[in-house]
Amino acid sequence: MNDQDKPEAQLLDDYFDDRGDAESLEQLDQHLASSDDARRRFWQRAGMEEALAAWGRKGRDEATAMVEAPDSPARTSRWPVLSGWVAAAIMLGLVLFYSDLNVPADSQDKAVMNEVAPTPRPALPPQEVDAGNPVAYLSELAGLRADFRYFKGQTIRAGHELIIDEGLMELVFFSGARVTIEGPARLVPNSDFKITVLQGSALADVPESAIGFKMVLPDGVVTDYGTTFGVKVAGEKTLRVQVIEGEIELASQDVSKMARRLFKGQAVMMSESGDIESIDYVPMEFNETLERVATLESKTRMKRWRAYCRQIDQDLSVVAHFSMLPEEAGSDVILNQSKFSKSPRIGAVISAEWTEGRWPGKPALSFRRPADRVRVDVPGEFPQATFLAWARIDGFPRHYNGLFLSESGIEGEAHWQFSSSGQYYFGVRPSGSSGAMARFHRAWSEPVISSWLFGSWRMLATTYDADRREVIHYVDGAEVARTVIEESVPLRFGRATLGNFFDPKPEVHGVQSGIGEEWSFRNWTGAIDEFILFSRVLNSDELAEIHEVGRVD
Amino acid sequence: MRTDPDASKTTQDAVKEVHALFLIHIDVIRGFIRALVRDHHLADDVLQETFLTVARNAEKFTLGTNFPRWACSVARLKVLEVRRKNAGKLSFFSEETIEALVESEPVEEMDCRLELMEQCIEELPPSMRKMIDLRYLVERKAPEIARQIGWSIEAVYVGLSRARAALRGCIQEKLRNLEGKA
Repeated sequence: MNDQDKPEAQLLDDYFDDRGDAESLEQLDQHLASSDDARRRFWQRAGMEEALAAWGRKGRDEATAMVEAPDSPARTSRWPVLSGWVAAAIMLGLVLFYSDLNVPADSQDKAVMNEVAPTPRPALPPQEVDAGNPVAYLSELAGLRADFRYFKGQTIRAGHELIIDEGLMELVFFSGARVTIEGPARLVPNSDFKITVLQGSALADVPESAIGFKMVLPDGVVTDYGTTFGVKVAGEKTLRVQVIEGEIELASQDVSKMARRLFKGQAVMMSESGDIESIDYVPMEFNETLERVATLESKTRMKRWRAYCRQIDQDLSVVAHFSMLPEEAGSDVILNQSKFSKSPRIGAVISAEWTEGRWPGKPALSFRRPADRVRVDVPGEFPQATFLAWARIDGFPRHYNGLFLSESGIEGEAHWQFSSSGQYYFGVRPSGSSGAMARFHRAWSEPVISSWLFGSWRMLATTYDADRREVIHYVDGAEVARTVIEESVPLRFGRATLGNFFDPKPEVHGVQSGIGEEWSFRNWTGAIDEFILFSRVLNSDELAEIHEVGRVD
Repeated sequence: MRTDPDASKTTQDAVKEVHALFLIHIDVIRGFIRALVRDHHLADDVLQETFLTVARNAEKFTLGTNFPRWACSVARLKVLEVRRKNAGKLSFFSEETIEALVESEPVEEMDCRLELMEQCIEELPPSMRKMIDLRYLVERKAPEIARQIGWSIEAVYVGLSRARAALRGCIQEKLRNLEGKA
């Protein structure tokens, strides 16, 4: 080895770090050709490199992530197909025949896609006309088709009639009573202690806190004394009232008839004449069915969503896709799953805690405290963009409730956020301004999220087109507002923040009346379980499709 | 000809067996190929070609013999093939060096057990752990890491090198302990 020669360790580092020049390679080549020990050390180093790479793949769950998505664009290499097969075989613990090589996980995903039939576009959520007070919340639903689109997690007001064509729904009253309903059904929660069942089957589970809970039937009233009971109503008649646990009292609508106490295992019906007649007890277990169907539906939807994500991740216009996969839960970084975008590679999770997302087993980040945020570095300039987030909205306690905001003070700075009254508050910094107090170009909507729907998962999206100066806001894939702004400004994000905002100059805002602390504190309140930033304007059909695949119910 | 004494085994059984073995040893085979073909896409193509060839010749494999060594001998031919095709465009070792390397027991030398690697990574000090995470988990190149953490590129290379040396030391120690216990 002469003075110019690099030591072997350096040569190996250069080689395996892919930074050596032709001269280094030549030197290593000669060194390896001449020494047995050097060749041994070369392979040891190769083994370490591969073990590290294998560790990385395992950490990224690459084996499962490489399963082919249906209809994904053609690849240039054939290998990923094999990887998909290998991955599928590993996942299933199966070894497939060689002849199966061309029908890999692809077909499984298609099966998954077919399993959940597309549901029609959402009806508008119930508005607050004739609003009573909130008395219950919708804790679970499965296969539901109803007059309105209902969201898991939303509150239900007194006096609102729910008309269910089919499927199952569980309401938890604010007294603690839990009522499961099987469609077709019509019912009205009257208060936290009372529900009217006009049609359908219902099961009520009443804890101590709700003793005295009443279920009004077309021809009678059940008063509960801490129990589980079921009813079946059809054609204005009560066909069945039975006690699964505990004790209830059933009174006929005909006040001349005696009320009757019923105990565990007893079943009755109301006769035409208003008499209470004993009948055989028949098990009613649709609350268990609800649980089972809801779990199965969630699993199917999540599978379908994962398959669809792989398709999205092949889209060249995806700048960032934080899908927050199960294997990322608990980590302090989230990975950009886009196959093509080099930057950002990760988002740094700061203070935000991991929680459950849209489906059981789907992680999400919870945002609640002023510090909760994800920091993301997004270089470049974007004449077009689409922001998309699946977010659980638990409230809008702040003046500005931040979803995704650019680095403060940069040209093209964008603010994607909501006002305290549920309006989209989208703003873009005017060109040539850098001060903290510049008046942003605004694209605000009317209030689009009502407090009745707090607690539900929604798909929020906004498209931005600098050439057309157009900003369009969407909720659940449906357009809710369209604005033309004053100036064509390409967006820039820089050191951006998801679920919050970083204010480098709070002292500037402190002196302005009306925007003190609320300027600096803009954390989201709720959770985010997916965020996608596209470098193009998605049309309403594309957004509706993404919503359809990702919806909770 | 297949030399397996169990003559009742069918061709399909043989294919199933080598598929299973390929999955078990895929990391070593991939590592062997990537050590000689630095372009990852090309290396993946070689891996695929190797897999197909191994599957086609499944019956020639004698169960109980060293599968990764057999697969790497197939991969060697594929490596030389892509080297010839791409020599003008990409950098490779000379054919002589590749042959010498293949002769020097790569499979045995590369034996780096993943579970030990996992344990040792967990034991790294935070600064080294971050380097390893960024390089191998997030798959960032050194210049990107340098930009992200505000170090010079050279310092990142040195940091990575130290982290790998620490891992090597840790794995060797764990292996010695295992041998001691056995």
